[in-house]
Amino acid sequence: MWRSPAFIVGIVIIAVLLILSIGAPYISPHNPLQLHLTDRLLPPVWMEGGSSTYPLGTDPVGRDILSWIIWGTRTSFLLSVLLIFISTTIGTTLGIVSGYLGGRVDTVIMRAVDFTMAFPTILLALMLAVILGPAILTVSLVICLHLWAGFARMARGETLRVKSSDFIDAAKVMGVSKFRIMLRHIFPNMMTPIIVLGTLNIGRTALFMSTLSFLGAGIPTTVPDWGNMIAFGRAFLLRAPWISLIPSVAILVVVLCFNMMGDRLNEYLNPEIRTKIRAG
Amino acid sequence: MTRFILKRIVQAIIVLFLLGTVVFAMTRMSGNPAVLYVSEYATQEDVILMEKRLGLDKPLPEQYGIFLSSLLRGDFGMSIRARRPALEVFLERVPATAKLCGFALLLALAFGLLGGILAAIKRGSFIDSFVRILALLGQSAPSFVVAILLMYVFSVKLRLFPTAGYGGIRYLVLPAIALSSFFLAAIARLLRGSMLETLGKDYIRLARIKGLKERTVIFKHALKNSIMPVITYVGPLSVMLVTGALAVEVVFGWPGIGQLAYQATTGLDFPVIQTTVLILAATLIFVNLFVDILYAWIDPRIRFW
Repeated sequence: MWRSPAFIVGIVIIAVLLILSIGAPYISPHNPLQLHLTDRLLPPVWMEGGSSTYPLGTDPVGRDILSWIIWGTRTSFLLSVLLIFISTTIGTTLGIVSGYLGGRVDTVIMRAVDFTMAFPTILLALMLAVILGPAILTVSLVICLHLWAGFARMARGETLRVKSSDFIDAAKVMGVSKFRIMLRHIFPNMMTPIIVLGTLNIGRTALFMSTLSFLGAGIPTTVPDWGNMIAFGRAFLLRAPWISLIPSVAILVVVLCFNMMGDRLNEYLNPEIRTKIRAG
Repeated sequence: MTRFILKRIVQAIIVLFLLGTVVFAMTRMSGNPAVLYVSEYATQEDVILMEKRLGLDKPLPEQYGIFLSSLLRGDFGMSIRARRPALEVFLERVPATAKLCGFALLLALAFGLLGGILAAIKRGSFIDSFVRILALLGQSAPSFVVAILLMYVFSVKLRLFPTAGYGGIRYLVLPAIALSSFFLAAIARLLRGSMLETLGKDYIRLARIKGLKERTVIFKHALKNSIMPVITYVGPLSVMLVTGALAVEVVFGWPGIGQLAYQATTGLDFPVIQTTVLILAATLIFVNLFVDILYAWIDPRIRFW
């Protein structure tokens, strides 16, 4: 896997995203929020009328698109990864607790999971946007609410699978506390599915966040975000298509990258699939 | 089986209650809820009238009761912008969204299943790689991005289709393709994986040894046994279809529920948003209920879970 070209490309892209998102203040040529009203709707440098001052062109109010894209990696990449971490922690914990303790606790948590998965979270986001106004915290909350259930379900499944194993019985007999069993014995067994699910979900998170921003219920328009820029450029698709198209390509590349990585990781780490591939 | 169905129906009703409670809780989350239900030009008197209507002076449980009872009576409030009952405004838009989603679902199923089968039978070939790459791309692009790309290429540049609007088939094509892309990809991948697993099983080898036509082997035996993951997917699929339809309708100006929700969000028309959330979520709860029952009917092992 480590030598597979898809994987290498993926790692390179992630490294680039990391550098861009952390180093945005230093790498970005302009302040993305700065309006340059005399330089509105300029095309990218490779088109007629473009200039190297604004390599990817400018938007309807003169903001530099390249700077917006660079700063936008913070929401589309860094924030997505952070939210995945949080949802994974919460979801996995609840899933393990639910699977291990069983009974009432299990029923309550699983009903919550079912409810969450059946609820179109995008509508929740819209409602909150009207009640509270778009804010990064609100979007983050909605996305975590959207994601935790999938991890909980997976963790519960894995817990149930491992629960009746001999080594768990041994630990119980030795008097290990429930908490310690869950943390030290059950949890390590699901590292693989967590990694795979987490990687695949980064793509989903980025998709969901950009959709929300596009609809005006996500990242506020005062914060650089790719979904926002696509929304700004929609009215100018004929005259200045690059405003919407460039961030669209950016989203596509990032999600594609994480989906590919997730797939490769799945093939590599999941023993069933690995043997099938070996068998040809 | 009947016990299972009854159990599931009771659960669905509980979830519906939960839904109403969550929405109610959200309305009471910030400041004065009455403000949400009146327009931005409302006077102090209007706000006080609305407070009376919502029963804000009464204790919270009573407010909750008022909220639920008005929903059950079909009173979903008045749309601030349209000045008509929110429910009416909502229901008008349903046919358009139904058309879009229906067509998109058809496309996704038809081509997704086809792609999955082809990729599985011709494993390792060019067709397999082609389907897999397309599927990966399809799942990596948010529906509104696909929508914008399609609009740019086919409407703006090639002028083959209109950019926006509602009319005949010509207006439906691009939005439907945009909406279906994600699910087409997902279905193709699911089916391919499932079929590959099935095709390796012994009873398939037996069918071939028996001398059955390859077409019978694939469609009658392999496909039927591989279709389960796709059916399981219908539940989450319908939820994501709502999300996708929203964005696609906004991009193409398709006059459906999605566009309504968007206009209500930007126009701060809370009663309409509330109506949309309640009815759509309730619909999804019923869809999931239906899928659960269907699933149990097909695979009897589930009933005893």
